[in-house]
Amino acid sequence: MKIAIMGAGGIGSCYGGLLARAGCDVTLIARGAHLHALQQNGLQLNRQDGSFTVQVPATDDPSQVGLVDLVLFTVKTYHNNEAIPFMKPLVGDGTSVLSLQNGVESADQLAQEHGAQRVLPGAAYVLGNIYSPGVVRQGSPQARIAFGESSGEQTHRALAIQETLTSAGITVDLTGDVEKVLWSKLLYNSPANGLASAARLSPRDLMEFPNLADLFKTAIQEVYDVAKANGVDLVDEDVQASLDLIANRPFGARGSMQADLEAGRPLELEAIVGVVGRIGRKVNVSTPVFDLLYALLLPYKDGPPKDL
Amino acid sequence: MRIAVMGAGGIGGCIGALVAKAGNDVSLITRGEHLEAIRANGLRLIRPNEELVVETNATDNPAQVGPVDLVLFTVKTFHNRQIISNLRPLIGHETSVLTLQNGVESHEQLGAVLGSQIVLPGAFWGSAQVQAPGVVAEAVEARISFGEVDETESLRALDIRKMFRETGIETELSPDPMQVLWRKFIVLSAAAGITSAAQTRIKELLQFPDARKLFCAAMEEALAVGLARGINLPEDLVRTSLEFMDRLPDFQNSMHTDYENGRPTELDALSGAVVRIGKQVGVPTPVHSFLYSVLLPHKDGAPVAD
Repeated sequence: MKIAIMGAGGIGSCYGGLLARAGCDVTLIARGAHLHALQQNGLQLNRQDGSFTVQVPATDDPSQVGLVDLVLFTVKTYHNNEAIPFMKPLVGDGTSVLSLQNGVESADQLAQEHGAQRVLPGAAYVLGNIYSPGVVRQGSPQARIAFGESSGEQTHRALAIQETLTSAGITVDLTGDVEKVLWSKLLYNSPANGLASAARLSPRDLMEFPNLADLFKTAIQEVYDVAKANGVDLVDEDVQASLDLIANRPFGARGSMQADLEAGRPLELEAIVGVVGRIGRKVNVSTPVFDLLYALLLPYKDGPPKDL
Repeated sequence: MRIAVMGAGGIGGCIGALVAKAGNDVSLITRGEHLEAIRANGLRLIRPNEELVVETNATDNPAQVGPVDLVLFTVKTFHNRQIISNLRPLIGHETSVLTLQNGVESHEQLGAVLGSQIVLPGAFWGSAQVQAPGVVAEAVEARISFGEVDETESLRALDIRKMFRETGIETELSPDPMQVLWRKFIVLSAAAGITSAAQTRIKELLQFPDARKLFCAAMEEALAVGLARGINLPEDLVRTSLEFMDRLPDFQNSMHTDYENGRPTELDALSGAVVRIGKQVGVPTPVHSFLYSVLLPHKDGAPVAD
């Protein structure tokens, strides 16, 4: 199976490194200093159970790669407008595009350009950060992917993708309800990133304040109500489960958007926070907490505001 | 006039320098490095269009000052519980205490300890912050509104207004000081809350329609609380306050500055007070409750939890 990692940043490099180590035909598509280091020295992946370096083709030009069987789509969501048409040379009749971005809107955006039949929605569960150019640190013990066909069917291609990913040591859940998987992630990820970014403290630290614990619950409930109004098959217990998930994180641990905020980088504000209000308005569910979070974080969306 | 400035930080330092320059007998009461610097080099005030240095008495001990005609009360609100009783050595038979603190509760807290008849509620409009020890920068020119709680035009109030006017500070003696306090409180609680939570100065923030809406929603809430409290407030206050904010030069709100520098904030006197008084009068305050919660971890300074 010929694979391209579209957006080999922290997360894309984790999966790409594991696939390359397993001998898969994988190419990393990256940019800038990270790309340069990948081409010079290969990819060094630092993991809790040991580090390794792997020589893997890397480029910033999809046309040099040509058609592939599978694209893992791992760019930051705010690059979608440019990245989705840019990867056209990778995509042919037999290509599957597995979306691993934050949020619940990526599959639709990819489908508009590349055709719904090629897109498999999915979610990434791995802590991956570029430590220095060419060096990526995987902070979580596992690198997990949950994905499936939008139709819910267990197709041959989905099974083949599952087998390839699994053979590389990636934990894979092939699901019959991928919409539920994506919203389940949003259920804790949006409140955790949104509230902790606005309150400038890690989600677990905020849980020590009763006001904030209440606010987390309200925020989770808002995502839940929007999901239910969209027909997503969540149950009431999922609200408490998401709250528990946040309460059980380590003190000080930040989500990706909060880490971006602290580092002065652009934020996935639309995909993680804005999405709740945006979809809520379509289904007539009010989302006062997310509207407030969105308004407060907006000045940092494209990086820190400059003084006038 | 013999004047003690209790809390010669940003606002107190700004007014203290101006009244001292006009020839009043002024004692600045402050602490730490700022006090040392004032003693050594005088107090430097950087104004939008001028810069001045005043040499005047500075101390950290009110007993060394003794009874004065006027106490200007300008400490941060979160010090009130410890500091109000320290004012006693400054109080004689003819002393007035003019509070220029943020919020709407300060005169009651002072009155409870010192007697309500000596306290005049007031509001400081402007922006002045300690830039370095001994140096205060005034970003928005100072303006003062105050009055008697019983809404009379007393001789002492007229004297205080005359004294301020002679310093060049634009000063209004209001027949309705509760309206004065609430007008400021409504704008300030909203502006301080959203600029601190967004870590963005108000000029920049108000360029975003979502943030403008949020600013107005926060002001509407506090206005509803004030009206329910029986305060006489104009119905179009939110619109005129937004226009007022748009006309101001760029500046950073002091709570935002305190938050950013890991210092305690006046959250309890601002969003906290909107929520608290809202509960008393049965007016819901979802926006200020949210702002209060989001800002709470930083209320007593930078959180140490992680």
